[in-house]
Amino acid sequence: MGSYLDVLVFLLTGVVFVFVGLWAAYLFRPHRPNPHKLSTYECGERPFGGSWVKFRVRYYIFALVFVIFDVEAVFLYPWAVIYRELGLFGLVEMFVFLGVLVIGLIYAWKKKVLQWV
Amino acid sequence: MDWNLVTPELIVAGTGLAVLVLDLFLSEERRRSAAYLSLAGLLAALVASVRLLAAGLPDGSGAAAAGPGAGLWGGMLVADPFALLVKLLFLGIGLAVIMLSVDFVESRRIAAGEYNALVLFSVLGMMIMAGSRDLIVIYLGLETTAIASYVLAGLLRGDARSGEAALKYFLTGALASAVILFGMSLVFGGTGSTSLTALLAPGFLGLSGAAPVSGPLALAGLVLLVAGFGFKIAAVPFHFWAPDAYEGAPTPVTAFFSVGPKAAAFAVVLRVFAPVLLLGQAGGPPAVLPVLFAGLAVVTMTVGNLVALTQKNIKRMLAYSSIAHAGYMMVGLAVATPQGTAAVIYYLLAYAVTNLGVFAVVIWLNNRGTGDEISDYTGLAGRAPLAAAAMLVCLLSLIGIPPMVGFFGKFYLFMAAVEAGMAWLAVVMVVNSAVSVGYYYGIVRNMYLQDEPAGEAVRATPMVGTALGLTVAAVLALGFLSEPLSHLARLAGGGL
Repeated sequence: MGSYLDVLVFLLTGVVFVFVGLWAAYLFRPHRPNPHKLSTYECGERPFGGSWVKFRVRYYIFALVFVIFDVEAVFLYPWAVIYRELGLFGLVEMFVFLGVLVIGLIYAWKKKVLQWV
Repeated sequence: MDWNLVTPELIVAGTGLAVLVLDLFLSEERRRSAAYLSLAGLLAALVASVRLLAAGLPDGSGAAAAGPGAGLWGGMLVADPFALLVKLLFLGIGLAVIMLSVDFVESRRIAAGEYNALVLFSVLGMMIMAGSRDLIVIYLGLETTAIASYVLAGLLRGDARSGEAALKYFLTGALASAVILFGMSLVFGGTGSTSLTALLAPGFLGLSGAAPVSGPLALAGLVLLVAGFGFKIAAVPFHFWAPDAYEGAPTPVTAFFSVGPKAAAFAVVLRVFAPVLLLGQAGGPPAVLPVLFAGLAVVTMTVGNLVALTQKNIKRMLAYSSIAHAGYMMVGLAVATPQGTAAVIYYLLAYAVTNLGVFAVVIWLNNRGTGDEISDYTGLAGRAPLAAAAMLVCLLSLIGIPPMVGFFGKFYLFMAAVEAGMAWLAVVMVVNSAVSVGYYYGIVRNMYLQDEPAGEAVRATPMVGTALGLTVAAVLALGFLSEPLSHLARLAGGGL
């Protein structure tokens, strides 16, 4: 139980820290609002339109392809660490795995997912 | 480590990938090759499974059951008679569905490569589900099947109902997966192992007189698993997605859903619960499980049959019919005897071949732009006598009239219930079968006894005709071969 108590204390400290900070800022900061300050902050640009607009679904497919190869890298690291112990079987196994992923890449390529239109 | 034991899976996985690549380099006119390659792969896997099954049987030529039963990777995959028998069923379903869909896919402009590859991957997931004694691997198979199925449901891209079917199937499926995972985590919490054999350890559920170490926790886990798999087999409080998904999905995919993922979910339920149920007879916490299954069985078959009576769309009607049949099958679980387990396995086979036959006729008409509504079947006997006759045979089998295979399925379930002293459950089943005559007979009456509207003959394409011929032959032949088949089912169930 003791180790979980640490987690609880840590959580509470984190929550308290945030609220104390906000409260202190509220006490000390000047309060002079104007229309420019109250508008949405968009990296210094003048904001236009609402945020409820259609996003291109292509972003999603790019993200998906990226995640697949991200995961591939995650698997390659531990494999590389114990490469010598796994021997030939490990090498073949990893190439089978990579082959399956390459088929996915060929598929995405031929379906013109990698082109930005 | 014997790689031979996973040859069926490797063949199916390899074929799926090959189909995906092949399709990318095929010209528009030669898209059918994807289907032919898939059929060849499934056939090869079927042959491999038959060989493994023959070698594994006690009276077979080669190794005794102990060899394959031991499994690979510490029991993560097993090739016992049960797994192999159910895999044969899955591969047969895959073959039938691809044969039925070749023309449908072409005429509705469905992406052929993706379609065939997804069916193959889905079948692969089902095979993994049936062939594992490990919760994590079972979940892996479940998701492989489910994700491929969600996409299959939405493959009619211009059709809003297909999209609706896919979305509903995905949302309920994801919820079911979450419930299953939570149940698995509780079981893991109780046993400290993801292996199913840990469920049977004396201390876990308080079996064989031992004090239950983690009885309530484990029981909560098992009940959550029942609920999660209840979604997958569309048992009644969890069935709302089924009619919409079945109606909107492309018809061959509906045929696949009604038998494939459902049979795989039943295989897992048998794998997880049959040993627990058999041990639980002595008393102890699992005594609540048979009661749970009995309740689900009664509600599922009653609601399924009653709602099916009011349907106008044949795919919706078949969805409710499929719910009702899941209810019958749960009778075999509720009785908690080896006979019950064997009866469920037999019924799975019987229901799958029969339902594929019914869907073959629906697809036959679908290819000619009709057949979605029950009224479309009016006067079918005049326009397509063979289709009508095949439909008649399959509907009689679904009702449970001898000598069709459906009769023997119900007969074994009935006997199992009576022998286990649950005659009331058998009576509920018979009453429900009588109710089901109402909606099945509606189609028969439309086909044979209604005045025929002036219509021209509807001819089958060769692929659909062949598939229909094979399924109807199976409906009749498996009925006549019920004795050896039920022997096989008992053997498979005994190894669980």
